[in-house]
Amino acid sequence: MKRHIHISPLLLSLFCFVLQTTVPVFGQIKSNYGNHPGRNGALSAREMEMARTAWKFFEKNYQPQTGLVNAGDQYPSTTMWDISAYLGALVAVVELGIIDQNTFDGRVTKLFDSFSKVELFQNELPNKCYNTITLEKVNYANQPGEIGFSAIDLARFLIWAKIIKERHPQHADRIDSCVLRWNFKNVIDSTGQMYGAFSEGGQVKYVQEGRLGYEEYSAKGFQLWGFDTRRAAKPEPYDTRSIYGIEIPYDKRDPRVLAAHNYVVSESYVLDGIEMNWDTALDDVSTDMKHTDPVIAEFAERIYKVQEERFRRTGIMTARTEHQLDKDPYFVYDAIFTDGYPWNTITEPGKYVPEFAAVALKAALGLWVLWDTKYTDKLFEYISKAFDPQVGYYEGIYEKSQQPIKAFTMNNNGIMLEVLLYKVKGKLLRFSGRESKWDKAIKEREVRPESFILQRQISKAIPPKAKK
Amino acid sequence: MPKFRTFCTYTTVVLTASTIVFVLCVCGCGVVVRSVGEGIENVGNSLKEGRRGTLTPEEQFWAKTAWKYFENNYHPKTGLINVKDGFQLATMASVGDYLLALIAARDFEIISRHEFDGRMSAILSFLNNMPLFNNELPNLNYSANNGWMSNYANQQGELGWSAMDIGRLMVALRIVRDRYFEYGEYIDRAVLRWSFCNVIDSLGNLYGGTRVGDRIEHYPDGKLGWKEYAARGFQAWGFPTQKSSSLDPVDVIRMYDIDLMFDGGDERESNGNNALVTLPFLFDGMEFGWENVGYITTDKRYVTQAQSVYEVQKRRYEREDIFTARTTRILPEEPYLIHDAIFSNGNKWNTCSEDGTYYPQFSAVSVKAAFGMWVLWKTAYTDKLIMVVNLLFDPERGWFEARLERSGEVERSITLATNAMILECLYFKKNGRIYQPIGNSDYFYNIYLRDEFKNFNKCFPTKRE
Repeated sequence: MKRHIHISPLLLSLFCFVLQTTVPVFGQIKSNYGNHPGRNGALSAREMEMARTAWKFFEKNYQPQTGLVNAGDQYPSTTMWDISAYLGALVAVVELGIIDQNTFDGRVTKLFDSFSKVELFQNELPNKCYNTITLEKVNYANQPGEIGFSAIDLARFLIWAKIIKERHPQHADRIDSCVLRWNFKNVIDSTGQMYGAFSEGGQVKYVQEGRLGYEEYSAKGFQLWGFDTRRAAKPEPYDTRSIYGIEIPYDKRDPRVLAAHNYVVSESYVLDGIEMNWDTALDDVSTDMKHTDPVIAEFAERIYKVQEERFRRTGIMTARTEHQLDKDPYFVYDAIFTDGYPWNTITEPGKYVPEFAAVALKAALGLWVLWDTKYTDKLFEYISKAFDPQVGYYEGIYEKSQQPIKAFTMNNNGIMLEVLLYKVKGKLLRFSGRESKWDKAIKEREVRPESFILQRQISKAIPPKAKK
Repeated sequence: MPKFRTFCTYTTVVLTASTIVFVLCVCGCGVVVRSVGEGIENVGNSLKEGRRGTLTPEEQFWAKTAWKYFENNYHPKTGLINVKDGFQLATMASVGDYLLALIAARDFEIISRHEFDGRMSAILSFLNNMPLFNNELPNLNYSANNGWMSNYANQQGELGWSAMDIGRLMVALRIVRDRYFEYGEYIDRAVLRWSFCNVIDSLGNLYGGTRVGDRIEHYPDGKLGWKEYAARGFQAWGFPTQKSSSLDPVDVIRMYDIDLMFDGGDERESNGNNALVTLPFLFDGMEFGWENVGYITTDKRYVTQAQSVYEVQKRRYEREDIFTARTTRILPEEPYLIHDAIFSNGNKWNTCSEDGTYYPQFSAVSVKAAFGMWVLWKTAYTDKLIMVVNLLFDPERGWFEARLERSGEVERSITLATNAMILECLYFKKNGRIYQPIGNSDYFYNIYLRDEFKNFNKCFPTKRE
């Protein structure tokens, strides 16, 4: 079923209602929450095989002594973002029946036990990288040392920690103990803006972190834990660029002046869709066919449409996001739009490298599950064979050569697994209503007052309004 | 040393940045120049909003101040004028600018008929005697005092040619030719010296040329705005210019609810720029009214684009309270040439050097752009805009280049381009559309080209298939 986000929420709800009550779809598993956008139902045999293959990565790269998984194949380092992908993968495989409950419980327990012991950056928050064998704080070269923290990586971790807490409450207290160690005083300011930290010449610097897409997604992550991220949650400041007549939103903060690029990619919108249904963070009421964060839902729709339109007009398979490479420079922002240009592919320093444009598998599968269209059918066929049966799915397929990017990552395989789970279950963040250790700590103010802003302020946060 | 560097940069700019003006015409292929396209109707004057009328005493003073530049920087031996105050270099674009300034100065009776004739004789004599790059076309740079071809350091040497510069000169020559019959033959002879085989192809694409070691490399010349203007110049002398007269390839950017076209070529791989600036639209407006004039035609979208270029700058003032009149300028310091653009290299209101590097500190209200907007659009905005720049002059040396956006500081470069622009704007105010066709095809250039024994292998229109 194709979604039409332009129609009013009321009409949308009515439409869903009619569909649910009068059109029983053969073979579909109904969750308690009704139908969800995109593809619904049990996994086909092929899709199930895809999930098993993606899980190979996590079997092969598991470090039993620490419970962590390598972020790249055979590369014993990880980030909070990648650990989150692992959490997503774990929830997917246990709920899809690929691993049993004991294995799941064992892996989750081991991971959080390890994580409750790691040293934090400046004794505040988890460092950007850890060695998966030794648990040491490391730099990007996997050498011991602390380099800073990323608000966005932490936010994604908080989203997945929350999902596990709510879906598998037996782990809630363990997870809360882990997060209660953290000190949030430098990651969010009183205006609700997020900051990352880095060390420069022995000095710690805090800089605003997050651009349109990732910033709003991350703001919800902190909101789930009671923090006020009002300013970060606003889509502003943004502008739009017309690509094939579709107004694509991009972050207005100037990459020529500030170091951060304003890349528009699929990933942030896909993750927001499958994990939080493009709802406001704490929305536990609305059906999955209603999006209570309508601005992000609308932006996501455009992000999809413009990629389909590019295929329609040029014949180039398109599912873009940031991804790894199998050669130098090893990582690119393969963007729908960034730094002034549509279909721009750049390195971290901003060099234009069109030869590394690719169909990213995690993006392709994400579009496939959220938009049930002929184009995403094609995307699925295009990527479905890009795997190594021993290691998992490749990172992508180069646009020009149509050869696979022979790199395997936890992030790619983890996102593919959570996407497949979404098909069966819909929105992954489901609230149990249970009061956890963290909730009690907040209520009793056991957490130092300066380190977070209380839950009650969240209710004042007004959802951003659509820009006319 | 500072002069030397300034010079280099300027030259580069003039040559490759399409900063300078050129005109072209679109004509049918292979037809005798003048008779081509004569059936095309002049669609009427779309410049109803512009300022018109005799010059006020203040405007006469502005014109006299601008002419100071041409008194101070004149080289009687060559007939040339420095591109920049005290800097002895000339380009074909600067010669084009000068010719229009000269007819304006005469029209305002700042100079006598005798002085006008002396200056005109000297510059036409130069054009008919100057050495040509590879014996084909005018070089990018000439030494203003010696008349020889010069390199970026203004030392004797040759560089190549710019189709944009040559186009601007061809527009100016056409205008002067059709207004002053007594110089027509000598203007025709200057154009007939050149060889057009490598500067324009049969589809009307324009190419620049540059010497690389022993070889001469040709490259597509001109971005949206300048390209179509330069095409007017080639068309004015009978060359078909379908490709260069068309705005395509275009891309579109929405700014303050206006869909603005910009050059659709991808400048990322060439480390170049696609700066959308105001000046070519001002030239085209004053000289041709953005319309087909006689057989000299242009893309129908050009007038819309010109209007949008004005409107978007006006809206920036209305919505942000930032005075805006942007175009490429010569700087007194690095990077020497700056594209102060409405849009360039993916960014709105970008101010960048030739290679696209961002220099926000050089954003400014350009004197030449402000005067052009003032004369072509008689609006409340340009009434205010002119107040921002109308005291930026040295009464003995001429008009300054700009007022910087972020501080109000005056950018005190004094250039031929800005001073010529002020004279041209006032000439337009007094006389209306500057190009006035004579409507006669039996003149020296055409008669010469009809003689099959005289037109050898230089790819003039009559010899093209």
